[in-house]
Amino acid sequence: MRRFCRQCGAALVSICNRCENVNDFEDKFCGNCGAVLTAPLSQEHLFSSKALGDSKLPRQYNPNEIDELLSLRATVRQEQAAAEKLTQEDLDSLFK
Amino acid sequence: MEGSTLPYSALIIDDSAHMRILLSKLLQRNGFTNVDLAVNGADGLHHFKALNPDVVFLDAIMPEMDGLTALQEIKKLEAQTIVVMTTSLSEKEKVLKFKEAGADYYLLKPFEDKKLVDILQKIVPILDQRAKKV
Repeated sequence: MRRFCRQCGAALVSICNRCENVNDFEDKFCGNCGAVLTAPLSQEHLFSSKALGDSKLPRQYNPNEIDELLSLRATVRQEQAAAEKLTQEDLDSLFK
Repeated sequence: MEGSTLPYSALIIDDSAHMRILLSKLLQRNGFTNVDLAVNGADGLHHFKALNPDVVFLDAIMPEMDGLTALQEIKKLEAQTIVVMTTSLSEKEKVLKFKEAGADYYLLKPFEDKKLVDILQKIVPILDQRAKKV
């Protein structure tokens, strides 16, 4: 999986503002909590000098941080896969 | 239930503006005229103390104070208040924590309008009965 933009080196992950889950850059919704993720910026937006000085841009991560985040994501995904998930029907039975 | 007016109050605690609006409209459509909104657990607790609502719709993952903490505080203040968890969390371990803390109903996001109406149809008779006793 490509971790950095081939044009500008920007990190290709998207951190959920709500639960801080690390998502793929293309994801529109957080894989952990379902929150809407910030729309990916266009390349033009990334390259503009105005955008580069804009504090609202997503934080850039260094390679070590990316490795750490990806490792965390793998752990979280493993835990999520192992966790028993309930359906609305299960919940209805549980919360009678 | 749709079209009738209910004398009950509801508080929606959710950090998503979209969800607050959606739930608020659905509740109003189903007779709840007194609906208050809060943006996180801490804000929700503040509103709860001021309004003492009959029903609380509570998100789980929120900044400042999460849903579980807010639920515990609400139940400490007023154990009888009906709390409906409205969240995307479905892991059994987490769900059981809400159950243990006193959540009365659990609405998994995203939900269909009908599912909310189903829950309201269970809640309203309980509130009606309580109102008769008073």
